Order: sequence, then C-alpha cells, then structure tokens
Amino acid sequence: MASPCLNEDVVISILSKLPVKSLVRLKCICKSWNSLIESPLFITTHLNRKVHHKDYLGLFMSERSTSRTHISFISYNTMKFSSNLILPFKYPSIIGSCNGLLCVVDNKFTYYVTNPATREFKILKEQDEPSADASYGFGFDPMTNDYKLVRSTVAETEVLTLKNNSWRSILMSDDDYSTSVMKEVRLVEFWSKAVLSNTLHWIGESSVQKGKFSIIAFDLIHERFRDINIPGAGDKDFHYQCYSSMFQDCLSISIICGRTGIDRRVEVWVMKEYGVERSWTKQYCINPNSNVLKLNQMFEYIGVTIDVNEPLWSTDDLLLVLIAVSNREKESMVENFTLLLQFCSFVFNCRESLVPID
Amino acid sequence: MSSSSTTTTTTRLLMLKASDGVTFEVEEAVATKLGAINNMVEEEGSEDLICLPNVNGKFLGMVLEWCKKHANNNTNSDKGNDEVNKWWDKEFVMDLDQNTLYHLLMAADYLSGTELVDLLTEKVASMIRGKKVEEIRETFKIKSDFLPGQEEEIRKKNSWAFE
Repeated sequence: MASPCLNEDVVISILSKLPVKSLVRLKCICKSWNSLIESPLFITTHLNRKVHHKDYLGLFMSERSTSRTHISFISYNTMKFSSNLILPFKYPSIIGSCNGLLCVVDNKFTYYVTNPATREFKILKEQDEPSADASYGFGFDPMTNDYKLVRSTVAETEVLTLKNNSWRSILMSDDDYSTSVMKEVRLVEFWSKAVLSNTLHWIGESSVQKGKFSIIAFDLIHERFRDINIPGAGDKDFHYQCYSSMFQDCLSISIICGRTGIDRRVEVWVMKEYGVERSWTKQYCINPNSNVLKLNQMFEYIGVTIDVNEPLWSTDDLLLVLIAVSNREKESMVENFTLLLQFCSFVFNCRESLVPID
Repeated sequence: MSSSSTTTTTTRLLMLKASDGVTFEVEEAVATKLGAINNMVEEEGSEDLICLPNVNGKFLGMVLEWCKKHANNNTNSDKGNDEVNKWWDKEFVMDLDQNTLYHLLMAADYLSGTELVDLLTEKVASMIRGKKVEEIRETFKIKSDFLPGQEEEIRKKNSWAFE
C-alpha cells in the first residue's frame, strides 16, 4: 500500500465507509488506490457494508415544461434530497433496481441500465417484438456473476444478461412445475420491487379465479418460476389488490382487503424466514377512512419502503407513508411527500454503489 | 492506563508485555476481546506472560483501556449498553490526533481488535470525507505515482465528482 504504515485490509476498511463520489475522487490519489477502488473485491465489500448513508429513496419526477424526467434521490440517512439525475429519454419507466444499478425502459421500448452514483450508462439490446403488456425484473445471478433483466408476458419469458447484452427465450416444457405455475396466472405488477435470495417476485392473479392472488417468484440462478401462497389466501376475505415489496430485508406483501369502503383495510405481512410460508407475520393492519383512489395512491408508497420501523400518519387522510424517519422529521416529510405525489410517477429503493455496468 | 482491575468477577490475570518493556496486568476476559490474544491464550494455554513485540506501551495501554471499558459495560445490565458503548466510543476517538490515531489503528489491527479497528477506520473515513485530493495525500503521506497526464485523465473522465 502506498501509505507507509497502514496495511491493505485497514485501507479497505476505511475506504468502504466512504460515499461513491468521494471514492471516485480518491482514484487519483495514487496508482494503488486507483486499482483498489476499481477492484471487484473492493466494490463488493463497499456494496455489502450495511450503512444507512448509502440507502436512498428514488422518485421519478416529470418536468411538465420540458417533458423530461429526472430522478430525485432522498437519503434515508438525512431524509433530505441529495441529488438529481436527469434521464435523457422520453417517458421512462423503471423496470428494476439492484445493487445500485437501475434499469429503465422508455416509450419507444429502448432499455437502459445506469448506475446513478457513478453516472455510467448503457443502452441494452432492443427486442424484436416489444410488448406493452410485459412485467419486468432485474437482479444479480451469483453463479454467472452477471446481472439479468427478465421480461415476462403471458406468451413467454425472456432473459437478457448484461455481459452478453442479448435476449434469449426461456424454454418451457409442458410437464415441468415452473411452466405450470405460469400457465394460469397473470403478473399484475409491472416490475419486481422485491429482489432477495437471487429471486425476483411479482404479484400474480389467477386468470381463472379473479381476486385470487399469489406471489410468483423467479429464481435468477436456475431461471425457474415457483409460486408462494400469500397469507390468508384460504380465507373468505375479499382481496382487492396486493403489492409486493421488501420490509427490513424480508419479502413483504401489502393486501388491501374488504369489499366496501367501510370494511376496507390494509394488511402488511412479512415473511420472516424466506421461503417458509408459516413464517408470514402480520406487521400492520390499517383501517383508513379513505376512498379507494387514495388507498391505491398511498400504497404505491408503502410498497417501496425497505426500512420501516413504524407507520407514519397524516391526519388529513391524504397520505400515509411508512418510512424510517426520526420523529422530529416526520411532519416535514409528510408535507414534502404530499407535494411530490403530484409530479411523481415511480418510487423505488436503491443503494449507492460502485458496481460497473460492463 | 493501569493494571488494576475494577470488576468484582474473579478471572485469570494475564501479563502483556509491550515492545518497550512496559507490562500490563489484564483480566483474561478483557484481553481476549482481542483476537490475537485470544488465539495465543487458546494455543499456548497456560502461558501467563504474553510478549507483543509490535506494539509499544502507550498504544497497547490505549487499546486495553478500550477493551476494559467495553468488557465492563457488557457485564452490567444489558439494556442501554449499546448506548453507553457508543457514547464512550465517541469520547474515545474525539480528540485523537492523527499520529496517535494511526499508531492506535496499527496496534488494533495487529491485535485483531475487529470492533476497535471498525471504530478507528470510521474516524479516519470521517477525516477524509469532503477533503480535497491534495489534502488527503498530505494526511496519508502519499506521493502521487502517476505518469504525467494520467491523473489529469482520471479527473477529466470523472469531472462531475470534482464539482
């Protein structure tokens, strides 16, 4: 190491505590720091360090005057806006967020992957037959050490690997379980917000029994589907809508139950032990005196929070945000979110990282 | 930095000898918070005198002071210990000058005091945040070994990070 007295482990420990912008600057300290910061080992160490200052809530904000979209990042650490990223394409939608990389599709079906922290950018291979009715997911496959973008329609499922930048269809035979899972189900979520255990998750609705929901999981290593029963699935209770998300690193689901406004309530369930259905635990049950429209709206927000410690209430029933905020900052957060709601199209969680795209 | 023990629990005492000959008498439960000493105790068993030729007395004393505080806090009632430890850690690193911090970090690393290394590297990281490249080179006593033009190239490629 260039520093005469500190060994490399200690230097790694120091540097892994720094934000990406500082690290990019530190690349020009000396040759060894430059190659250390760019090394896969360091990038992984930095990514996996659990510190709050690296986690952000991202909001897609449309600019009416310019018809452009930018992403505003709010730091979970300070609960303040930290930076903006202008997206150089029209009407973008988010289709995945994993390890600091963000996947986006525009209205012309061009796919992009970007690392907002390092400002790296790549246009992905276009598809031959783009479909507006697809669901997406983006995650990491540790076996191939590569990122995968998954696109699934009723007709087929395709995978693009980042290194190859090419799409391939997943072959499905008639008799395997993975295929049968997908046979009578329609994915009702546009993109997978819950990415854990190398698996993507969407809410699926039965195409034969309306209102019958399950979680459809896609294993990124073996490229196979399976289903996970949602809690209370056997009950007579009417499930109006479901949203999958993450809750403190666990798979979670928010279920809007009840047929009428009076009965309607929202249940937030958490799968404490991944893959174990009896570990579903009801975390919250909320009965807001609110109409359906507002419920949907607010659940877009609940659906994305990762580090929820307690529910946050606003008295004017416009907005309920479950988010990790210290008490003194809650009120201003509610105000900020109320304002933001009007201009915001997507909300997602992300972590700052040095992960390269190529 | 004394060798006296303040807790009432009776455990075996170890004698630690620093590079400059200064010795410390420490309870085994305290000293074994350090991975390196824990290994020596497990390997050599009955050895009561442990020589540490790579750490001098001043810094060994400071490392042991930290271990003792954490060991004491952890034997008290469990609630609030984290808070106490955090508060105490803050105090511990607050006024460390750069030279002391460096030597302490080397000592903690040599003795495999993982938690202490984490605390001290966080302190160093906080000293780096927001500093200019030149200031960091000065702090870490690093000379640039880039060929002419190389550094410029990195700066140019990442100009946004220097805004």
